[in-house]
This record gives sequence, C-alpha cells and structure tokens, in this order.
Amino acid sequence: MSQTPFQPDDELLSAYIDGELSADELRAVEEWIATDPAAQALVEELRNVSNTVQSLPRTAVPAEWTAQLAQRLDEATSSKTSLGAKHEENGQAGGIASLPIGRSKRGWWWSAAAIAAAVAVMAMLPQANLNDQVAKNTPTTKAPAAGSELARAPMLEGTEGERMTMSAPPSDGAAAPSLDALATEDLSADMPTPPEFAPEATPERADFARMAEAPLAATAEPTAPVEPVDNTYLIVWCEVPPETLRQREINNVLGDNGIQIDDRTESWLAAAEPVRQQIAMRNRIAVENSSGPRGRVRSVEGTASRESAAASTRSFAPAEATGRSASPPLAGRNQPTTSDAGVGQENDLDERDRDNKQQDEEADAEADESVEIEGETILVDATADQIASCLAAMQNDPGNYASITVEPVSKQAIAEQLIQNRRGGAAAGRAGLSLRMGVQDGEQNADDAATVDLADSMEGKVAMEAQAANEAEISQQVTELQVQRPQARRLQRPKDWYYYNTAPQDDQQGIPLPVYQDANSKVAAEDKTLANGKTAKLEELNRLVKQQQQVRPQQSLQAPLKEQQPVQVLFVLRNSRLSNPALSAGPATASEIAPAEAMEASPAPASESP
Amino acid sequence: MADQHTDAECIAKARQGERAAFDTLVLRYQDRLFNTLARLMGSSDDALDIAQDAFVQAYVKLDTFKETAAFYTWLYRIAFNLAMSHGRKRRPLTIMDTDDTTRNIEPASTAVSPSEPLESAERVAGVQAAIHDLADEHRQVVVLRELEGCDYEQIADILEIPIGTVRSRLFRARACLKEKLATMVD
Repeated sequence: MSQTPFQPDDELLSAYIDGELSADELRAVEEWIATDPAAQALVEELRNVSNTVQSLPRTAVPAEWTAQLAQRLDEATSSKTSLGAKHEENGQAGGIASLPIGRSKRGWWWSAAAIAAAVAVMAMLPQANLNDQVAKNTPTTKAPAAGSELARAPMLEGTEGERMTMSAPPSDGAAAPSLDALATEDLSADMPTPPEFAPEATPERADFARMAEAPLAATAEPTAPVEPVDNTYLIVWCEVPPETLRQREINNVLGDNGIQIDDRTESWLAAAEPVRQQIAMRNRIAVENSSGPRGRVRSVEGTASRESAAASTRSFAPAEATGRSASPPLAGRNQPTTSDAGVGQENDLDERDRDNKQQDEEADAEADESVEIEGETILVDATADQIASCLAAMQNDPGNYASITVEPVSKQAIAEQLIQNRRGGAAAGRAGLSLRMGVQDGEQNADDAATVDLADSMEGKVAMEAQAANEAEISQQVTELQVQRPQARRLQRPKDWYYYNTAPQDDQQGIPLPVYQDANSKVAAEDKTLANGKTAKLEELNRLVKQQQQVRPQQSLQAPLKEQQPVQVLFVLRNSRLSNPALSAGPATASEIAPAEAMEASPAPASESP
Repeated sequence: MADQHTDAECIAKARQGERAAFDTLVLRYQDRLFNTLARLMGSSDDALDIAQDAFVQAYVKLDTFKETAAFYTWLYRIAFNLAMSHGRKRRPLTIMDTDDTTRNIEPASTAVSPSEPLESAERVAGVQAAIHDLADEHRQVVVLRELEGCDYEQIADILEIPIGTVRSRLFRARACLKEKLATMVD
C-alpha cells in the first residue's frame, strides 16, 4: 500500500472545532485555515451550527413524572422481593429464604412490610426523596442497620440465610408499623426470625462522612470501590506475536499469579480516567473512517456487537519506521468540499457503513486464521507484587512478550495538564476532552465546562493526596487498602487504535523493562522462599519505575509500590507482526474506499495495496 | 438539591437496598437524560417514557453495573438501547414548548451567541425539527456530541462504531443542519 500523504479535508474542520485533531493534523488545519478563506468560512459555519444546537433550551421533567417513577421503583422493589422468594421456591439459594412472599396472603404482608420499612429508612436519610409523601411519614420503628438483612432484601440475588426484620402489616399505608405489632403476628415456626432494627440511619450517615473525609481509607463495606492513591496506575505496553494473541497466552500469565480473567469484553471506559487521559494525551486518536473498505472487523470473542481490534490486511508500523507522520492519513480526501455534494455522498457512505457492519457479522463465522488481530487490551486490578510477578514472567518469555515498557500514570500530572489547558486553552494535550478550538479566554461553553469540571475534580483529589504526600502516610494508607478480588478484564478498542497508540518513546514516560535477573538466578531466587522471590521482583519493578524521576519527575511514583498495594494496570498487547514495516499498510484511507467497494461483496480480505 | 454523595456511594447504598440513594441518582440525572432523549427521539412524550423505563431498568439491574465506568454513561446506554428498540415510528414532532408545565432550566451552553440566537419559539422549533429530520445515525452523533458533550471516543464506544465513522457522521450531520438552518433565515 502506498504511503498516503497528509491532506486536510472538510471532516477535519469539523473535528477541528471539537478539538479532536492530532498535533500534526492541527498544524496542517491551522495552516489551511490561515490561507483559505473558504475553509475559514466553513469552520465558522460549522461552529455556528454546533453552538445553535447546544443553545437549545433544556426543560426539566414534570413533577408528576418523578412521582410516577417513584411508584414504579417501589413496584420494582416489590418485584425484587418476590423474585427472591421464587428462587427459594424453586430450590435456589435465596436470600429471602423462608419468606412466603408471593405464595400466600401473608407473603404480601411481608412484602408490604418490607416496603414500609424501606420507606422508613428513606425518611430517616438526609437525601432528597422522590415522593414528598414519603418524607412526611414518621417511622415508628427504627431504621435497619447498615448492611442489615432487611436492607439487602430487595436485591435480586438473594444472600444466604437472610433474616428479615418486618414490621407489622401497614394498616392504611401511612405510618410504619411497630415491631410489637409484628410480634403478635401468627407466624409459622419456620418463618425467619427478623433481625433487630438498628437505631436509625446514623451509621450510614457516618459512613458517608467517613468516606468523604478519607477517600483513601479502606471502607468497611466489602463491595465499596477502593480509591487508589495517585501513581497506582500503570500501563504496560508489549509486542506479542499474533499466535500469542490468538491463544490468549496472557491468560496463563495472569492465572499463574492468581488473577482471574473475565473473557467478556468491556467498554474502554472501564479503564480509569487518568489512564485513558494519559494515553490520549500522548497518542491522539485520529482514526479515519476506516470501516468502509475494511469490512473485516471481527470480534475476537465472536460476537459482532463488540468492537474488534482485527484488521484483515492492514498492518501498522511505528511511524518512524515508515516515514509517515504520526498522524494517520486523512479520509475524505476525495470527498467534494461543497456541502451539497457532501450530503449526496454521505448517503452512499452511510449505506456502506451499514453493509460493512453486516459483513462484519457474517465474517465472524469465518476462519480466524484469515484475520490478523491488531492487539488486545487487558485491564487488571491486582496487588503490586502480583503485577511484578506477571511482568517477571513476561520478561522471561521473550518469545511471547517483547519490548515490554512500563508507564506509570500520574493523576497529578494529568490534573496539572488539564488545569493548564483550562487556563491557557492550549490545543496540545487535550486528552480526549472535547475542548473547543479557538475559544477565547473567558468564554465558556459546554465543552470547556466539562474540562473545568474534570480539572476541578482531579485538582481536588490531587490536593487531598498532596497533603499525604510523604511516604509514611502513603505507606500506611495503601496498606489499609485491599484488593477485593484480583481480576482482569478485556477492553474493547476501536479499529486502528493499536496503530495510533504506542508505548512511550525514550524521552517520554515509560522505560523498557529490563530482565529482572538471568534465568538461573531467577530460579535460584524462587527456590528460596516464595516471599523472597516476590519481594525481589517488586523491588526490581520499583527500581525501574523510580528511574522515571530522572526523565519525567511528575510521572514518577510518589512512593514505591508496596506488596499488597492495589494497582490497576492496563496491559496493551500490540501485534508484533503487524508492526513489521515490511507489512506496513496503515489504516484505511478514503482513497481506498472506492476501490474497496468492489470488495464488499467478497469475503476475501482486502489486498494490502490498492 | 445539593447532594454531596458521589455516584459510587449512592450506588453502593442502593445495592444494599437504600432506595433513597437511587432516588438521588434519579434527581441528579433525570433532566439531562430526558432532554437528550427528547432530541434523540424527537418527542418529549416518548422521551419521558423511555427515561422512566431506563431508570427502572437501571435500578433493577444495578448489580450488573461495574463501578469503574461512569454511572451516567451506563444509564445512557440503557436509555439509548431502549430508544432504539422502542419500535415506534417517529411521531409527528412534539414541539417542546417552553411555556408549558415543564420548568425551564439553563441551556447546557453559555457559549458565544450563535449567529442566529434562539430567541423565538419558532426558531427553537425549527432547530428541533432540523435535528429530528436528520438520519438516525447522524442525529445520534449530534445528540451525543452537542448535547451530551461526549468526545469522539465516548461516542464511538456508545454507538460501537469506529472513531473515524464518528468524525465523518458528525461532519455530515452538521453539514445537513447547516443547510436546513440556512433556509430558516429570512
């Protein structure tokens, strides 16, 4: 495939006003606009359209709608309760074990009592309630304790051996009944013993207060998300052979280190915001409309609904290896610049998009070997020593894992960058935030507002974390954190993402991960106590990452990673074969769309060169 | 209503059965979701129905939500899928009057005034009609971009399309709107 030179087009102007251009594209577009009045005019027109739509008035939902929704949620709560009883009836493990909800009239009393108790809880909490009538109900019984069985009762998945605290059936649906009234109920012997109501909802309010004051402290709730300290995000870049990708060899590495992988693909948004921001800041995603000729997008998991990282013939290579700019060639080069013609052509291309999507689904059933996988992204939540062990295993398997680069992520650095962007309106490093181009200081729009919000949020967090910046405090905090369950998930990436997103270069954040030890000494180390081996690996990882301070101080770790410290790591495995410059084809460009039309009906992969 | 609890805190509590915690999320996002759906579907009545369905479904399936993702993004996906599979043909456009029983709230953007300020109800109706007349795939990207403020990557993720497709569709949508709005200037 020929190297497509960089050329601006109208689509770029639209992306220009959204701040969604790479650095190279931005330069080219600004030069273009500076010399072409027609382009300037089009930019202005597109911006006006955008502002017009954004300025549409917003209306609030009617009050009756909110009340109606409250009723429906009440019904849903009852349904959940009934579902739990049905599970019991069917012999399934159910949380509401012995409650005859749904089986008898008494069951409906239990259900109604549960709702009344929930209402009582709502009335005790300081949060705003949907229904004003609820706020007026003064509970005569005490609200259940945090985590009480009653509180868990409405959950779909019942927990085992749940015992319910039930107040007596409500008389007229007004005040919550009392425990005494319940005690007089003719309950069967096998009915669960209701737990005691705990004094109101103060424990929950205290929990919220504690969580707000000490977001880094461990919570008592096992299901509460753990807030990691800064610099507990890492990105691991690696080049792997296609067979390694296809066989999901990484699953073995993770599994050997106690990390359970979920093979379902999740959204990219599952990755932490700082991780996504850092990658986007460095590697602008500027993928062209590459779905047209590529008709080969397939889901590695075999389901068409998930975005695939596969490309039939496209191969990518480091920009420096191919001589092309880091920015992708532009699509739409052959599209007419007038809006009229653009409108006409858009219909053809949209139909092509639909046709290609259908072909994608059909292509899923075809042999896998015909399609190259661009790469895969694995999001791992584990302890630092588990991660260090995984990296050591990868490093000692160069046949499967090469060019391993570890890149620490600093929320502080990102927050500073975001704040700088907000203040200066700089184009560089917008990191996927939709900043408007050309916004003058003092002007505000929805996009800037989003940037401001994010910057403020991160600034606040960074400020809190900065207060505990000394190693001793961090050390104490991180040891209190727990990784609830080491896990790994696959994240979906858009087509061509692996082309445009690469490991950091020499003068950037990441550094290559050298061999921890030679094989013999490594084995010797592991022949000793397992802990020694793990410690050695973690020490090596910390030493390597600490070297970042010399290159990019703000990206370095605030403190060395502790063994049990929770770390979120994004493993980005790029297909090493597709990185071969000899096979470089780059992502699809508009010039390939026309020739590829003839290939749409054919299941054969598109040729590499037009 | 000023609630200091984060989405994650509310979700954790709601999972434990505290309905009020979920109510907080409803009050936090109901207007935003409704307005986005209204533009997407071209009907405020449909938008109200779908928004309600989305909140109920989110409540019922709250256990399936992964805290690492944004709650509103997850909620919006539910609503978006419901809207797409709703199966209703587009009704005649329901003009979202600003003088009806709904309350007016601030527009999402306080940007520089557009060349054609939305001062009149007719103008607003015209813009709404123009958005309504867009092809589905164009209207979706416009709504996500201009009203939800999503970046291209987020749009690509929600619609499950390549980012390049987001770029091209958004350009074409704006080009269409430009033509339609130009005919309104007289």
